[in-house]
Amino acid sequence: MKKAFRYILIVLLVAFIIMQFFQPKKNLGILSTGKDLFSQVYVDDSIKLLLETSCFDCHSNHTNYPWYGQISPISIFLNKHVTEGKEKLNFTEWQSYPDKEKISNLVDIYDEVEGGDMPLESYLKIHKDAVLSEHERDLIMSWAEKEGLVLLNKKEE
Amino acid sequence: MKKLILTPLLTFLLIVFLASFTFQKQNSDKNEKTAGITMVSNEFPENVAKILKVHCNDCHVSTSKSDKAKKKLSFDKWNDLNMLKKTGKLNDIIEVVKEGEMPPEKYLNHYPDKKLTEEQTKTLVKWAEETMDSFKE
Ligand code: HEC
Ligand code: HEC
Repeated sequence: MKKAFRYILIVLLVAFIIMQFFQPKKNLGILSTGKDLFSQVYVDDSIKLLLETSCFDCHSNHTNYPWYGQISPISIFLNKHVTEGKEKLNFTEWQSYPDKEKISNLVDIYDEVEGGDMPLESYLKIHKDAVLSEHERDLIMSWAEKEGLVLLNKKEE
Repeated sequence: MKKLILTPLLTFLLIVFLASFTFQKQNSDKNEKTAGITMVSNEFPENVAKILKVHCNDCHVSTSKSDKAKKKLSFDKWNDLNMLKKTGKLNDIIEVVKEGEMPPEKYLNHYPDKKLTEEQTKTLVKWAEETMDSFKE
C-alpha cells in the first residue's frame, strides 16, 4: 500500500514537471499602438488607472504575470481567460471597433461592472488591488455611459 | 511486477479523467433548462416578436432559469432600456445571430428546430439595424 502511494506521488510529480514544458504563448504585446483606447480619446487619469489595474490583464495586449502565473496548470487557466477576455473586449484594439461596437462594449462594461461580474471573481481572490470599491465602480459606469452617449449622439460616422 | 506498471498507469489515467471532467464543467451552463414562458415586450414588430418568443425566450426573459442569459438580455424588460442600452444590445444581437452563436449550440442539440433560418436571421438583423438607425434621427 505504501508502495502504491509512493508511485502515485512520483507519477504526479512527473506529470507536473512534463506539464511545465507545455506553456501557452504569453500575452506580452505593446500597449500604445495608436489604436488603443487612450491614444485617441481623452480618458481621465483616474479612469485610466482603474481600467489598467482591474481590467488590462485580460482585456489588453499586455498581461502582468505574477510569478505563479508562469506555472502550469495555472498558466493554462490564465491564458484561457486572457484569450476569451480579449476576444470580447480588447482595449488595445479599441479604435479599430466601429462606433456601434464601441457603444455595445461600453454598455457591456457598464452592465458587467454594475452587476459585479467583472473583474472575474477568481481573479480578485489573488489580485486584491483589482477589487473595485463602490465609488470606483460608479466612476467606471458613469465614464462608460458618458462615452457611450457621445458616440450615440455623433451624427454620422 | 505487474503492479509496478499498473499503478502509475492507473494514476495517470485518473488524472486525465479528472482533468477532462473539470474542463467540461467549465464549458457547460447548467441553467440552460427551458423556462417555457413566452413573454415579449410590446415594442417589437410582430414578425420580430414571433421569432424572439420561439427562439430566444426560453432563456431571455426575466423569469428564465438562466441567470446569465436574463442578466444580459431580458426581452420582456426591453422597454425599460434607454436608447444607449438598446443600441448596445441591438449590436450584440446582430453579432450573435450573424455568427450563429445564439441560440447556443448545446441547446440546439436538444431542440434542433429552434435554430434560426436564414430568413429569420435576416429579419432580426434588419430590424436591429433599422432600430439603431432610428435613434440617430
Ligand atoms: C481575469 C481576467 C479578467 C479580468 C481581470 C477582467 N475580465 Fe472582463 N472578461 C473576461 C473573460 C474571460 C470574458 C469573456 C467571458 C465572459 O463573458 O464571461 C470577459 C468579458 C468581458 C466583457 C464582455 C461581456 C459580454 O457580455 O460580452 C466585458 C464588457 C468585460 N469583460 C469588462 C471587463 C472590465 C470592465 C473589467 C475591469 C473592471 C474586466 N472585464 C476585467 C476576463 C476578465
Ligand atoms: C438556451 C438558452 C438561450 C437561448 C435559447 C438563447 N440564448 Fe442568448 N444567451 C444565453 C446565455 C446563457 C447567454 C450568456 C452567455 C455568456 O455569458 O457567455 C446569452 C447571451 C446572449 C447575448 C449577449 C452576448 C454578449 O456577448 O454579450 C445576446 C445578444 C443573446 N444572448 C441573444 C440571443 C438571441 C437573439 C436569441 C434568440 C435567437 C438567444 N440569445 C437565444 C442563452 C440563450
